[in-house]
Amino acid sequence: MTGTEPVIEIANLSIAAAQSGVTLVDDVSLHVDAGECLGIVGESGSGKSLTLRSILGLLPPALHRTQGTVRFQGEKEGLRPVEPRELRGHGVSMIFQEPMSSLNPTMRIGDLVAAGPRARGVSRRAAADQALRLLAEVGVPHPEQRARAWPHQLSGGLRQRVMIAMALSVEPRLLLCDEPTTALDTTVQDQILTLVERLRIERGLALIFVSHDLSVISRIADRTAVMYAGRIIEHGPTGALVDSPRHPYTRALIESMPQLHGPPVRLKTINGSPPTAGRLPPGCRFAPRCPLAVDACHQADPPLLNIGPHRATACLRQAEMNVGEPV
Amino acid sequence: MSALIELDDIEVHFDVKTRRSGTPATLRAVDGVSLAVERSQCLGVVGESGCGKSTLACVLVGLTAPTAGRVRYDGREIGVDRSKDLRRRVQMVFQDPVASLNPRRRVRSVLSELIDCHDLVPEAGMTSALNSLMDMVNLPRRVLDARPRELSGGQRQRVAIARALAVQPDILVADEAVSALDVSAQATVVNLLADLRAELGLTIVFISHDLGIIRTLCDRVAVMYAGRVVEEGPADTVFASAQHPYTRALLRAAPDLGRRGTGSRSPALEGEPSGALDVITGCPFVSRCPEAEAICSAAPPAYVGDGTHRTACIHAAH
Repeated sequence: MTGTEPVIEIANLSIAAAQSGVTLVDDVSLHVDAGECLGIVGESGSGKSLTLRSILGLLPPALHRTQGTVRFQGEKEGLRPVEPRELRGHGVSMIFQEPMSSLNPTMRIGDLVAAGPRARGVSRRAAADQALRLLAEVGVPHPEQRARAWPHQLSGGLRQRVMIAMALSVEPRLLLCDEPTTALDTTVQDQILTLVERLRIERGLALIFVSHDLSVISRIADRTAVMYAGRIIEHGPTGALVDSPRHPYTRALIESMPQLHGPPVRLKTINGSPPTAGRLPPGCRFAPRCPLAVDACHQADPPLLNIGPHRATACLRQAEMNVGEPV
Repeated sequence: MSALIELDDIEVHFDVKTRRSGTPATLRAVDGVSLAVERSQCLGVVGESGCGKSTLACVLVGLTAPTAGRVRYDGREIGVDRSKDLRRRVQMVFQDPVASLNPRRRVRSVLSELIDCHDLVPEAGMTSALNSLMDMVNLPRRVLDARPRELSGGQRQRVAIARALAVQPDILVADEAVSALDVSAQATVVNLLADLRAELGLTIVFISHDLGIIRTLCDRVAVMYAGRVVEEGPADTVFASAQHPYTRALLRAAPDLGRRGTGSRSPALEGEPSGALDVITGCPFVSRCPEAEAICSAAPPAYVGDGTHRTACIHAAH
């Protein structure tokens, strides 16, 4: 952790469906410092991608932000409230899960990467040169040849590198990553994660990395927020959170993951399935599935409370969870 | 113990036309694979996209005819034209239950049709047969009256497993059967398969790109690369002391909770597999292998090792 002022600060963000009014993301607050990586982990429907997309105003038309502020650290002035469209192409970039559907199939690779600089008034030739430099920086072999290729001619791994080059072309300070390695093979995922780590160090990028896979998050994130049914239910430094989770859902998530080291063990499972948005249980959202739940858990949804430096959990029974218990 | 199902030097080549010039070419999806699975064993097949693992699954269940090689079931050679009884004995579970279950039909009608078709249960016993199927896959009996879209992803995949079990198979071929599921749903399906194996003596071929799940579920593992098995052996041995450079790279590349931490490091493996259209004379892994020598490009390496653990690499230390 760098301990500097945050690059971005999101406070009390809520997202709801416009028609039904059903809340999908509920009162999410987070911040990222310069050069820091925040991981957001959760299962499908937990609201992790919506949270990320709303930063750039990329929510589907049927959804809208009902409350919350986003403050961003500009180049000169300090942290100030911003609208999503002010951030697009100006300080914040995003990379997505499926590189093929995010790359315009009718544009050559070089033109795709040059489009950002061109839109900022850079000359055609200078933008093309910059595109070649960026393609080389993200590890695309033979950039001059590849710049003339079309997206469909590239492998999945190369497409993802091109998308990263496009994201870097506007010199962002914050890179939003929405499951960028989920569709990739194991060895290619490893390459892309290594690339993102390198860029983060070399460029001092701040990252928000969203994934359903805690093992990917644990490799790349300094701090991790765990989302469940639209809320952040636990938050803390990644190592501490994985070693001694202080929310039963986090612990269940860890124990249900197959491990590559240590003796093979039977996976633990979580009873039931996550609640449907709009039909949440009265108290804690995890209580109906929670092995530690007591009566109080079914009364009111516990707030996310600090339990130590940089650690917070939304669990009434967190004190009863054995600290440091092996998983 | 003799093998229940056996693949002997299976080759699946497709005649294709190259995209650019339209000249005929041969796509070598599976290129000389021999594997044997004993009764009640669970074999994991791991590899990255395009390595031929799904084509291999299709050969096992008789959906794809191999261009060369033999498939033997219980010692007898079988082809694609299988008897009804043989089709029943080898069943497949696909990755995407949404695509493999009829969206307009209720679970009850899907399952009872199969049971009827194979005359497995007398009419009067149908209800109890369906109920016990639901019990077997840990689903509440009311799921029988649901349509697939009313179920969660994990429930749907358990219905897909129930569909395969409905015809009382000997062998279950699961092709990326848990890949589309969330972690917690994935764990329930993996445990279910382990239980079915223990309770019914089911033989399972589990195809996945996820090393952690293979390690949890399987007693043997075959690692595929570019249509070939590059290493095969008991899962605990292969995971503890992998012999092939590709297996080692896969293990190093896989993210793992037990080995975390940030900081720049070099990727486990550079590059991507060569195209399936390329003609490979030597070892298929040579272009990415950190240990490659001149001899590796000359001829495909023969297997070294003992009867239980074999590796197609000249550097393997068995």
